[in-house]
Amino acid sequence: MSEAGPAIDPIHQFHINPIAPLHIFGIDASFTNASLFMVVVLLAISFVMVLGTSGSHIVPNRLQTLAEMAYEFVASTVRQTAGDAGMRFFPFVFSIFMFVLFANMIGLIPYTFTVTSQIIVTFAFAAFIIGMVLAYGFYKNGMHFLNLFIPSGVSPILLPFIVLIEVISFASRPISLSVRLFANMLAGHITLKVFGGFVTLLLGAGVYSLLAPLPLIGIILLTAFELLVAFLQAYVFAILTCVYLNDAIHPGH
Amino acid sequence: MREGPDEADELKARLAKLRGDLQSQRDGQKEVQRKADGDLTDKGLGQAMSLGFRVLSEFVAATVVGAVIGWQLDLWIGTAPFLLILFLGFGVAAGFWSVYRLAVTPPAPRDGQKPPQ
Repeated sequence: MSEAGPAIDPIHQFHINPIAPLHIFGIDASFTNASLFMVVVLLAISFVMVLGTSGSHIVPNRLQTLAEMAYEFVASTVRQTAGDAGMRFFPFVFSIFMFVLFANMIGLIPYTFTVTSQIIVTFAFAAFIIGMVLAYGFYKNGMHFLNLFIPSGVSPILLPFIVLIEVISFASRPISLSVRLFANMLAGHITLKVFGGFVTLLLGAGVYSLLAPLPLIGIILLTAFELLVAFLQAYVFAILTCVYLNDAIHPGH
Repeated sequence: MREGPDEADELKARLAKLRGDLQSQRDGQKEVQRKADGDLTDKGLGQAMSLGFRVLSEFVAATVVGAVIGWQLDLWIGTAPFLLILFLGFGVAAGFWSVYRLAVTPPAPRDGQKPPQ
């Protein structure tokens, strides 16, 4: 692959290329490869969930097992983290979890585009989640929601500092939530590409081509590890969504 | 005097039995412990890594947010660089606070316990 290309560029996989240019009122709304893979992710999720839930056999087939496992997993996560009152957010958390999981998993297939390796995508998710936490927190608890920033049992002298620290800590949530997912995906894919580059470089290096299988073994191990990371990051994203929603449902710790 | 040796023998036998029971119980506990450790090394690596990433990102994000707030306030009020320094300190404190909270409450209550209300 790299012999044809001018150089091995591990960043090239993250380039966004417009497929169908579209400019609405001066805003670049082109259909890009990122949009294409978002559609692919949505189609894959719809395929699994619609076909998986259409049969409802007593002895489930593979797709139904997958759909039921995903449901049970997310439902137990939501119930354990946000309580029974959090179950009204189950559709939201489930959608987020499935989208992130499928985007991560599909991104691991060679020649595909990883939607979650774009910080704007993960930040849009995180900002939406935090915005929803704020909106629901104020809607449900009114001004009592601000108790979230006032821990009980703090001396009045320290209270302004603690409140300031709590506010900064809350404001950092969307950033840490988005950067974690984005950085994990970006770093994993760059690492895989760099190891792949080692293989091609070693193959063209005379005697040292004997060493070429070593990075190849590394790629195999890293791919397995990336599968684990892809799942874990989707899980962490979902569970943190639940934790933040729990703050909105039950503020004041 | 006749019962003396008998009694001692009986006591010795009971002691030996007790020792054996204790030993087997201790072995059982060790087995359970080893199984738990094995679980930790197999499944826990990924969980531990994701927890590590969480700690790192929480800390960095809080520090950066504190610095950005200070920087913008400086630009607004015109007191550069004092508010930046002050809010950088607050950001670091908020980062430590987040990490502390992460360490105090386990990230995923696995044993079905109710979350803190």
